[in-house]
Amino acid sequence: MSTAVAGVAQAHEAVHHEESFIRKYIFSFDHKTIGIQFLFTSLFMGIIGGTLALLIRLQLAWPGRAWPILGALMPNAFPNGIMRPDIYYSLVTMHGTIMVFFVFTTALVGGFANFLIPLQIGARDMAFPLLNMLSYWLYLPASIIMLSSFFVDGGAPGTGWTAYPPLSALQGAAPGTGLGQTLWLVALFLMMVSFLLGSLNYITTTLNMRAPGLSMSRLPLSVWALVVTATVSLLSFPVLLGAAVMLLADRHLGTSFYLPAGIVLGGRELLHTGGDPLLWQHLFWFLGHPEVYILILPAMGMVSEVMATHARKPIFGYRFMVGSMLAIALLSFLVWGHHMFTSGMHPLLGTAFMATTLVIAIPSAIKAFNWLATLWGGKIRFTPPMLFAIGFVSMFVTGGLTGLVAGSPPISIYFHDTYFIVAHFHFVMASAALFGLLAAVYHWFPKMFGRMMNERLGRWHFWFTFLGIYGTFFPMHFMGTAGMMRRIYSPEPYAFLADIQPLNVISTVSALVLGFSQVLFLINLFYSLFRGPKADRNPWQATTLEWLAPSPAPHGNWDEGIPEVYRWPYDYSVPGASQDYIPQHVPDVAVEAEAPQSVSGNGVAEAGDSASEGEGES
Amino acid sequence: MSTLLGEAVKRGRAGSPVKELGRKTRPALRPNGRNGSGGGSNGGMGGPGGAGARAPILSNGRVGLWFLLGSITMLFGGFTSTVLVRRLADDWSVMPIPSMVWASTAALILSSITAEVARRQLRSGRIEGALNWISVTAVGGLLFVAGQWMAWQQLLGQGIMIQSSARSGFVYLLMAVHALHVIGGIVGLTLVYRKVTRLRGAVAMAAANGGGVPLALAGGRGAIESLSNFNTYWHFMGGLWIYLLILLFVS
Amino acid sequence: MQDDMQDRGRAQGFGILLALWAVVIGGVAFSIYAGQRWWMPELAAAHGERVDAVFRILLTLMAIVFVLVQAALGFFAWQSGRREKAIHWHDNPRLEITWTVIPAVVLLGMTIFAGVVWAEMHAPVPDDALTVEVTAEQFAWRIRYPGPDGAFGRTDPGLISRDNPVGVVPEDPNGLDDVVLLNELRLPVDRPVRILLRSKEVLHSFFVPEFRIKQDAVPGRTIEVTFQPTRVGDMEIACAELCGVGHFAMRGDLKVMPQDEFDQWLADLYAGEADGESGEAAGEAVEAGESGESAGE
Repeated sequence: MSTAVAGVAQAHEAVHHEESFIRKYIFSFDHKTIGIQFLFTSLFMGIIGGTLALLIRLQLAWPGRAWPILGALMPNAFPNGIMRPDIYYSLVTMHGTIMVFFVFTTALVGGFANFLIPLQIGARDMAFPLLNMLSYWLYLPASIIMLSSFFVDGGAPGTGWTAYPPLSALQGAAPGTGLGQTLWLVALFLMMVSFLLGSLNYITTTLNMRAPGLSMSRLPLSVWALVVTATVSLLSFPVLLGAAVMLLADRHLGTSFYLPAGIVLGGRELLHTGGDPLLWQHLFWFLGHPEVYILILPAMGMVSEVMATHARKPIFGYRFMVGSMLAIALLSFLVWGHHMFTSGMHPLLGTAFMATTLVIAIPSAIKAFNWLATLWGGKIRFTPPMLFAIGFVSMFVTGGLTGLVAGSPPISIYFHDTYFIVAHFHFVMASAALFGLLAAVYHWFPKMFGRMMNERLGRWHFWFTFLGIYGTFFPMHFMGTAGMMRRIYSPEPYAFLADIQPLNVISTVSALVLGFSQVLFLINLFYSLFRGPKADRNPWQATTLEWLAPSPAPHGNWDEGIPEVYRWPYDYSVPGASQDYIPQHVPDVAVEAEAPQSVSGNGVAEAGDSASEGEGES
Repeated sequence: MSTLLGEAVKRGRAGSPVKELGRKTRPALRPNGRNGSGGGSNGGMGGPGGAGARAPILSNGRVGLWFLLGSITMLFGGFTSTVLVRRLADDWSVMPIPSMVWASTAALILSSITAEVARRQLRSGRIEGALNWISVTAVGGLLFVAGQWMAWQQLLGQGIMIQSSARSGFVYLLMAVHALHVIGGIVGLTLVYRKVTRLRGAVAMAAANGGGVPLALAGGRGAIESLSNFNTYWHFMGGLWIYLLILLFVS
Repeated sequence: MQDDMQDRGRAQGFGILLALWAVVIGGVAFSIYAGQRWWMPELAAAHGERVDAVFRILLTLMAIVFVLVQAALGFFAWQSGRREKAIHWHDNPRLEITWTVIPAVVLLGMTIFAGVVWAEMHAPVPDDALTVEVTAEQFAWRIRYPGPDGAFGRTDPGLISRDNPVGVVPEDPNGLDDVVLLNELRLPVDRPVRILLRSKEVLHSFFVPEFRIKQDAVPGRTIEVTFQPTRVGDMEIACAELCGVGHFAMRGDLKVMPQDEFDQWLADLYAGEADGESGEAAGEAVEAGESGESAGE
């Protein structure tokens, strides 16, 4: 159907459709509701994932210590209050899996792609509302199945979020490699399908359902980022799907995709033959590496939006920002081997992957510099979203720089599987992606719920989180430099780690501060949901289309007709304009004849240049 | 709404002071705003592109379908690279082609043909014909799946189980994954079937009012598109199967 | 009200400046302190010099960029908080190209240098390098010396047992003089070493921080790890790939000895096998770690 017809049909529906509670809130087809469902489920999973992290940190700072409270709450896992080693490995595995797949991917993409895309492109809903509903209703069961692995015989898998075979393929080789690992694989499978369905929506909707006048070159960077992310996922997730199916077959059907001959487990030589453990690594990381860009690109896009709005300044270098996103997306498919330098793959492959990895640093650097240039000369409002956006840049730069070390094989060999890598990815993922997510939540909360979040609580949240992150993860660089390996229940067996504990303690104390300070966010979120001051349509005075809709946006989004777009999304502080922003849907703005030039001759934007088109009011 | 700027929005003045200002003050050396994607303000390219709504080049369903096929390609691409590397080892066994495979392949190919017939029927307004041929196509798909199952039985009869060798592992697994996608296609086909049946009423009405059977009724084009999309998916499944046949069974 | 917001804005901006500069200063200070206290263990292998050089260069690079960018971030945030109106400046292709090309050139240089060092690390060792086989298992290291004949006996996983931890085939004469140690690897200093790394069931990883080496042990493969110890001392082998519940306790002793001491030790080791039995050296059955997991059955 043409866009117009679809639009009319949906508007028609919007006006006349009486929806039951179930249809409206449970099995909703409305992209906004679905997005919010994703966000809240991700929040819940995030609380769990974060709690797991705190337990891990407790064990590492004070190995083998008895925690009476934990012993009382979970006597099985903490006999006499002391954490069992196998529990530790389940914690590590589930923390990683939950955070990567069930919190960040789902919140940033499932949550925000769903919520933002139709609103920012002037559509009434997604291209495939049914698929959209299905995508959430695959994610929720997937989460439940994932969590259920804690409660089955053998417990949750203890093979790392990377689940390398043969460990993950052999039942009994590690804690949780029985039913737990199978449930894990099934949950992951469902989650990936959910994500694919969503991605089909995000791409199709953005390509096909943009409002009149919204060319691709006028698309907000958040939408660019989400669409590029969706494309990357469509092309990368299927490979892990295939890998997961093969792993299930090895586990349950006796195949030998990953299992070579000669494995002796439990005193018996197994009958497998011909498989290759490295196959999994290649397939896993073929998704795994794009996955981390799937996490960071949306955050980047949304940070750009937040920054432009709250600095009252166009994002610097729009074209390069888009181009670098595309470059990152493309290159992300070519770097996966940098997770495998010690794997036993051919050293020349290592050289090749090193080259591509260092190349991918370039578009990331461009973006970082562009954000800096955006901030320079801006008139910043230090709202919570802006604070988190600025913090994002800091985290991303720190994490990105250590990526250079991780990407150079000679030294990466040393750092692989040490806490240096843990520090690296926590800075880019846990911190940068988190900050991007939080910036987005604070920024779009008014549009989602029609209320404002509390600014003071938001600022406190920012400060504690910012310092907490640095306190938790910065010391890990040095743990890694000292050689502390990942995924160890305790560093105590090793003489070369004898002095490492002060670092672990600093990290844990900071982590506790970090963890508990998220309570500030929860309080703010839930209180503001019900009692926050009402928000008007455009509390931030932003230019993008979603701010034209009511707050919260109703079913069908546009109560006054689908907007038409006349300009790009970054007309902030246009010299001579009477306001410091010109929304995208405004056709023409008169400027005073004596408009002052912008400072230091940095070019003048052409507000009102197209006098010939300046017809009518929006 | 945009009342915030309402006062600032004026009908285009002759605009000369503004325009000239813009032109005069732009420093010669700085490309700015105006050009394409930098998308300064509204630039000279301002205004909604074209009059009214812009029809997309491909329909939603079509776009979604192509990306879905891209995704499926990557799935089997991953499998392909796996198989190709694995074939290099010297324990790549001989694998007989079960005779049922010829039958199932024939069923799938024929069903692609019947799918095309169905589409043509629908395009020329022959709803009943289209529905029949859709049913035949679905049956063809089911026959394919059944045939694959019987092919497995034949393999088992020869003692070739999924875990017997690396090659057998891939044979069973890839046949299964492909068949699952075929089943998914059949499910999609039932949805198309329902869409077409809903046309019956509309067409009957139009015929009753005299005159031809214009299928550009609301939904008519939608049904044709849906069937077209299904056909593309279905042909893709057929082609994919031929490809897998070669990959798995040709020594 | 406007002034209020302005002041609050300035305060927040100043706060950001402080925070980021604190990060910079704290980061640098912490790094300097950490450099004294928690740095890489003292180097003990030949190629390590170059590896450490790569790290030092990268570190310098990272430090410079870190300091500049974080400081700039703080500064820009702060100065813009004091501004009346934003500058409508959003494009400067020349600037963008500059800050694309400069990192590209630097990174290219890094890639080349690192690539060269990487190739050096894989230079073949002479055939007379001391060859030792290391088989990783849950949760111990089985170190096999080839005996005076310098040849390893064939192994068959089906033969693995408590007395035959790597499954040496008894019919193979080469294996008769092989000696298998538990969690103990001794090497002579200043002589090239070739480790043949294997695994019994799952992925493990042979990690010796002082040597700057790490190599995954993959079941179904024998992977060569080559290096040359340059310093006498006692070191540890750590497992660096999650391999199950005892992963954290999978520790081995590595002792680098002067050549003559090593020769003596090796001779004594082999002499203990003079009666022709292969398998574990007498008196060296040490339990692996507190987890109580012993290899095989």
